[in-house]
Amino acid sequence: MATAEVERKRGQLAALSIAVVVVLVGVPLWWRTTETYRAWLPVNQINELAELQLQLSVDVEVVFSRGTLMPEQQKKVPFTRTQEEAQKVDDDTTLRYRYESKYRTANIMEEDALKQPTAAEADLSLHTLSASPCGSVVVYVIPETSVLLPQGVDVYIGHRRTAVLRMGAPMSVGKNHKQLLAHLEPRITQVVQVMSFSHTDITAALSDRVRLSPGSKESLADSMRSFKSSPGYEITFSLLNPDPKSHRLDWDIEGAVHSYIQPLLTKLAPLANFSIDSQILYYAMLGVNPRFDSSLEAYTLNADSLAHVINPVEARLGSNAASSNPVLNFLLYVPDAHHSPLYIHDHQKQPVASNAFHSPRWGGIMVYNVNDLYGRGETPLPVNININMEKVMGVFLAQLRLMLGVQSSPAPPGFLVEPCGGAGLADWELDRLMWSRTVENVATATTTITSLAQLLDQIGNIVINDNIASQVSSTVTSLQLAVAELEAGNLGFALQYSKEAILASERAFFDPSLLHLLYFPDDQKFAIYIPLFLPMCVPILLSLIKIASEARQRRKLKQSKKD
Amino acid sequence: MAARRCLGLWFFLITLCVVSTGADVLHTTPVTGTESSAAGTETVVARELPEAPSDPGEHTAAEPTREGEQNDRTRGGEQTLGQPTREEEQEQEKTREGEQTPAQPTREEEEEEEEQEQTRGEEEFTREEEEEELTREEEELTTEEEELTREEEEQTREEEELTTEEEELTTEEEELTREEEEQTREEEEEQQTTAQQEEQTKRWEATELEEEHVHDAAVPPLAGDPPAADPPSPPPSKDDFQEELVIRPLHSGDIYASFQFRTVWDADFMGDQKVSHYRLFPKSLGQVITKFSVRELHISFTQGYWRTMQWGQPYLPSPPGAELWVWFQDTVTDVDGTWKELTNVLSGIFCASLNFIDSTNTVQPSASFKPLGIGNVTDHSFLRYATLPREIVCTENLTPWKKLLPCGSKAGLSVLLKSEKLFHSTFHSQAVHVRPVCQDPQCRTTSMELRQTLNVVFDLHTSGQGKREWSLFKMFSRTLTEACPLASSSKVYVDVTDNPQGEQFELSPATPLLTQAVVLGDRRTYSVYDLTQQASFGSSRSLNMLLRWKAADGYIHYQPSKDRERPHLLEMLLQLPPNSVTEVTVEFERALLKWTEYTPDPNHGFYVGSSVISALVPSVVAMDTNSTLDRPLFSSFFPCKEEASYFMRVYTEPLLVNLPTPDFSMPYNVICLTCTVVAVGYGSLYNLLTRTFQVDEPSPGLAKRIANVIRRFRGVPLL
Repeated sequence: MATAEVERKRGQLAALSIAVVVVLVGVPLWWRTTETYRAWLPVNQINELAELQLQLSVDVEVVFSRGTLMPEQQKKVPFTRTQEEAQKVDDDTTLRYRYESKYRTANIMEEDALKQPTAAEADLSLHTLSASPCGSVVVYVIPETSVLLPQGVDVYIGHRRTAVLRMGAPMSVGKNHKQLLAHLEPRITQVVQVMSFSHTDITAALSDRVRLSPGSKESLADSMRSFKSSPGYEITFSLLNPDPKSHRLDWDIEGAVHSYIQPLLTKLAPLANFSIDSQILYYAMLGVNPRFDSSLEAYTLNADSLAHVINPVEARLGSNAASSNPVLNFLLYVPDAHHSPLYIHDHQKQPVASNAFHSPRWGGIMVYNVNDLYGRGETPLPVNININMEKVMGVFLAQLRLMLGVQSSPAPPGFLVEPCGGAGLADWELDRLMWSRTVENVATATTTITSLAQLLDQIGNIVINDNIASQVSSTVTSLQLAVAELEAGNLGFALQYSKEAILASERAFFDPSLLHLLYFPDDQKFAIYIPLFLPMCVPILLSLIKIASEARQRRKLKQSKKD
Repeated sequence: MAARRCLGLWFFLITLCVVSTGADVLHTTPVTGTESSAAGTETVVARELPEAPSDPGEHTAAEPTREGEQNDRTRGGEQTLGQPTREEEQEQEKTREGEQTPAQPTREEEEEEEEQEQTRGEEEFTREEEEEELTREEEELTTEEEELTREEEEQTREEEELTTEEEELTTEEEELTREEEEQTREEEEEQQTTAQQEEQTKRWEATELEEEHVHDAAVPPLAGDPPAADPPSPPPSKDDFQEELVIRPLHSGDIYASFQFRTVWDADFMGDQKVSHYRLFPKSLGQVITKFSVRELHISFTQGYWRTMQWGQPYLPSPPGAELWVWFQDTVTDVDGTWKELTNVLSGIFCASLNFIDSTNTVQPSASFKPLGIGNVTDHSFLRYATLPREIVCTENLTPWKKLLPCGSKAGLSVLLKSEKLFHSTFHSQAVHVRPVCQDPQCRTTSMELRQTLNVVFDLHTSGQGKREWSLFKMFSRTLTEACPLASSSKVYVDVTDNPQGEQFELSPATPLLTQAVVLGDRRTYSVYDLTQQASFGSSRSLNMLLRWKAADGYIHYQPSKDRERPHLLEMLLQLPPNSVTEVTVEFERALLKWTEYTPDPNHGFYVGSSVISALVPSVVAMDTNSTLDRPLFSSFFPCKEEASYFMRVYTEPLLVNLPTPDFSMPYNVICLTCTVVAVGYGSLYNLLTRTFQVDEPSPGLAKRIANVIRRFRGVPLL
């Protein structure tokens, strides 16, 4: 009897120990071996970034020339003064603008420069004196009586980062230095908004992140016309020859690119990489048959039908096989002898002077008429035609500026903005573009990285490799750096970091290894595990139940014995 | 003997009926071939199919039969699923039965093609899948991605069109357009659309240009700007385009057409200056060459196998499937990485699965594949070579190939390149060769040469509709009307070497221009049609060469089988020369049956009925043609029409074909076995450990136990 009892005890112990081994060794082993590898992600920092608080700082240097300050004002005017403005865009995006103004008086050389006969010359010589860093603005305040600016012009903005501001009449300014600053500050802010950024620009740049309440029609059209920020752009010029039997076309695209497009792109180099190429496409027809207008003795293309023009051509344009940057297409269409001349009419049925049109975020088309060269059927076909690149490139350059988002928004009254020169782009225009691109990059990268984090959080089966984790971390670091540099007012660095952030975030988001999504529905998992687990667990459970019931019985027995 | 030899015109009527048990599942594809006339027995000869490795079905070892051997090919049941042949597509529609393959067209070549067609479905499917996958792959697979995004963009643009057309559009729709651009990355938010915000921005705008702006732009840049100071760039480099078509009638009655398009561009791709302004040379290819520093690039896509025995040598040989070999410039540091990227980009350009090229199928030949262009590069570490034998070539590869041509498919010889005809052929091969060539005889400067070639062999019996004549229209369903206006030379050559007096075929319109060229070690004569001369087109203003074969003999009737309805029937009427051997080879394609259709002994094999040869054999003695005459019964069964020959019929032996037999019980076995092993192993272990063992009584001694066993046998009560 005793041996039987011992034997029974031993059996129970064995069952218990098997159960313990299964729980302690088997289950963790199974858990570990079937686990998906998920590297650590800086989730907290990403969540912090989800609430974007951007502070944009601009250094403004205000230089008073002789005759603008009264002596007592000169003493009291502070050296620096900071102005802040907070704007809440939506629930998790806030913007703060900070204008750090430094006040000083002009030195002798600057005084000399301001004595130049015209504003443009003054601008040039001021620039040679000191080059202001990227993102900053220098405002020279000149007395009201100065002849530098023409009548009726209060502010002059040149090619560089300098502006010249005419002081108001002394009586309106007042004698107190506080009155003086109160008079100047709104005007300086206005200058800064033209030269670096305005709230509308920044909110437009945030469109990736914030749903805008559709504002005015024009501003929306403006914001959607230009390309999104990208680390590089491919610019392709295509010459469309619909009928090589009718004319042979020749264009000096290399020379034209060199002298018209390249200066602008050199200027834009900090923003993105640009590559240019060109091609000639033969037998490239337009998608619409132009209507013959007998009153004009010409074919016309209506603005309504422009949308259909590109489609057949588009298939042949080809994308750049060697890169994945967005492509800006500029097409030059030379209608053949039987369909020429061809004019584009706008919505008011008026001919468009440039005979060109553009499509937002795609590019532009220009129709180049050469009908006068055909000579009414006397010359044998094909006619050799040399294209006047000056005319063509003027149009394409304007379109390119639009596509790249170099907006020349209408200046406020009293402003004189020097038209851009040979470089096609003023320094402050570049700054403007850099401000909005930086903000756009930051917004896009944060959106990408937060949605990636969200996705990874939601789908537990995705494997997160170390390289993705490192990309995510570098995105976060670059983003933090970019935000910090924006706060410090270092525009160049901020743009650089924001570019890095956007590259890393895209790489992480589109990493192919994320796609190896192990899709195991739960019912299939059970189907796989049950043949293994069922024969293992049933005996264990049964013997555990048996042990439990025996223990209960014994307790009862003891109790009854006690009783 | 002499008499016998000259009378040796034999007429054979071979009927071949394939009968199989239960249902007709044997896919017989008769081939031109053999009948040993003397023995009169059918020989089935093993024949290896060229694209065998690409067949996913397994190959079973050949089963020796009595006279010869056969090499049957097995095909996975699923693979053959519901693929009708062209001939009976319509009929098949009604009778298609799921997993069975209907019959094959007449010839072996046909079969190949068809089979590839069958796998094409799969292939395309996988390719689609891949593309899906690729949408998110990173930069190295950019092209695909780009294509997809382009599609998306197109969609967006289409939508834009709509928005332009519609005068009023709610902001909601505009929101959609924008959303597509954003690739739906963000969570969609319910957005409040107010009814008043209906005005839509115009997406197409006329470019308004202030006059001053044009002038500003046009004004030469200021002196301060460095790039403007440079002199204007040199005049555009010269380029030249030639096109050519060679037509060669083949001995087998098929016809071989070979297109070559050559663009030579005096541009220096190997210099430091980036080439970016393209005229005749295709931009997409040029960008690839520039970006990856390619010195030479050779890529070919081939469908079908070139039958050298029947057709002779091709002008440009190529292996079945895709072949790519590239010489990189010696400035490339990471050749393997560049090669990988290049294959990905090319796969995007040519819509082919070249992205499957990786280190496992890339080699660096050290002796063969020397550069074809100038330059004596010997370091083969800059060479990469890969083939993809499985690659299926189809329309989607032809379209991008045609896009590389300056005239597209709008003018010149390229109008003939209609995919529905080109791919309805026995052999199709298209290639792109880029290499540097000498610009002048002194070879001081180099030019880049792009040769696009397309070779196609049309089958006489499928395309010729039984008549032995060819024309451009019959081959390509197009005629030539003009040369490509951009081409400096545009010519059509017809090989007339074997036809000096016009006894074999007749060529119309006749051309006075004859030229001789040495090709493949042989001097050949060609008729030349110069498309740049208006005279070539004649009065009808279109050129449709007609090539009519003179001798017409033979008759082939083939009726393909229908699954479970009727067998194959192939009849051939042949006139055999004396003392010759003719082989008729029939290949059997093996398919899986429905599982209920297997006989109880499926491993025995399935029978194919005898072939029948009915022949008029020259007789030594004059035959009696009068059937009413009284003759012995054994000599009067076959009526006799001619005195010089008698009729005889020969039957071959039936054929036993092994079909793949599935193991019907395999899955069940696996489940049972696994369960048993687990249950036995684990259960007994557990039992052993947890059971309570009790000893009832001490065990009896060994002797007693043995005695008890014996007693039990005997039925005596135990001890």
